[in-house]
Amino acid sequence: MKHSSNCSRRHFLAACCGVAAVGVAGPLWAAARVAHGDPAHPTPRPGITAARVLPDSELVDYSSCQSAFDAIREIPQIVDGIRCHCGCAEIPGFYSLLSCYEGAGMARICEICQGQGRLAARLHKAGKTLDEIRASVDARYG
Amino acid sequence: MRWTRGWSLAAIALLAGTTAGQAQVRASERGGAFQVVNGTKITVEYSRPLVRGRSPMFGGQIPWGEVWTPGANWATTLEVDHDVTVNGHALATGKYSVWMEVQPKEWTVILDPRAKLFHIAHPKPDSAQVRFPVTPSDVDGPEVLTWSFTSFSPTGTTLQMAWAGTAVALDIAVPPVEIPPLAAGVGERYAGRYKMWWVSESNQSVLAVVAKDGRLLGQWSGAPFPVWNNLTFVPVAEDWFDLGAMVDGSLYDVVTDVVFEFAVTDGRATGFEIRGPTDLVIGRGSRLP
Repeated sequence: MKHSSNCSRRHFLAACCGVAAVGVAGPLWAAARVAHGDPAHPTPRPGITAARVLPDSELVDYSSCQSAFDAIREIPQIVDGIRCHCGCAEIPGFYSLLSCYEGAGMARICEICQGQGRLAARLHKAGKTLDEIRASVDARYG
Repeated sequence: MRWTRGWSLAAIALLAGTTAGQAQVRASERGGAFQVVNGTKITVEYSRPLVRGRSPMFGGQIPWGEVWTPGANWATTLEVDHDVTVNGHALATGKYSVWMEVQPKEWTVILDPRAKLFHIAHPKPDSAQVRFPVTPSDVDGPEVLTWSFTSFSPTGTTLQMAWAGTAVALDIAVPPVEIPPLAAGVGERYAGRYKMWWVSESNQSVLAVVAKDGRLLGQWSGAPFPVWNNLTFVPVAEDWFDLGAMVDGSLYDVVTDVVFEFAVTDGRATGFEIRGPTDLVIGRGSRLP
């Protein structure tokens, strides 16, 4: 999978076309997502660590998402309190956004998982609380 | 072994049992169509009869005055997940069985909140129903009864039933877009002119932002398509916005997986980052003097 910050303008164009392709479904969704409430985020498990997050050796073919995995390893106790909005939360065995970075490593191929992880790390670094991070993740991806 | 009548019946019974368990063929197979318009989902489900040489269909096979469901077997249903209007008549969120009283000229559409009705259970007039007249039009075919969404706009769609040379169009209007207004004075922190660029390109463009009536509007000199020349910023969170395209003063399209994040210092935006779905920065802007 090739994905990097270099997509820039092309990414924006693709986003424009993607929204156009689904007709005019975007506008109300965009407005409505502002009003979304907290969709039952999980409680971080006591003593949770990043021990099960995929190591670099599992990311050789997914170098563009390596920074997201690196960020997750720094804040397992935070991402374990966030519900993923990509749809994987319904998968048996899934507990939190941290789960996306473990096991089958869905975050290796899922832009939503990567985005939520990077956003959580960025906001944590900026001093935001877990609740504030949850609210931002919901606003952006909910 | 002699092939007796008893064996024949047993074989038929066995065959029938096998058929009932495995074959699902129907003369009028199930079908459906849905359309999302501005966040409102409109769904039609129905069984699809074929003409099969029957003529005339309306005023013949289906006599004038009959209250008919435009489908077969279980009544056709129309479901909407927001309140809408159909040909100007209010229809509340819900699922309805669809009926049409066929007449030589003007038909009556009947939407009955009892969604699960068999096609011969023609509903009697009821105050809970939504009823309104329609004028059918002539069309070529189709052989198979077909519901389709023939057009849509930001404000609605046209749902059409067509069969056996006749079509009926239902104009469905959906709730308007409601962009949350900015609190008084908030928009001014972003107002101004910005140079902006994509991280992988050297080209720069200019984005002029103005606050007006609780909305944040923009003019983008380097927009990739003309439709993006005039923008509205759709609030996502504090200092975060989705980008919406405006056409003829109305919201036309919104990019929801790219977000503008303004950097604000001392109550005034100094620039912004444009972040893609992976939260990586794909573009930037800085305030011009």
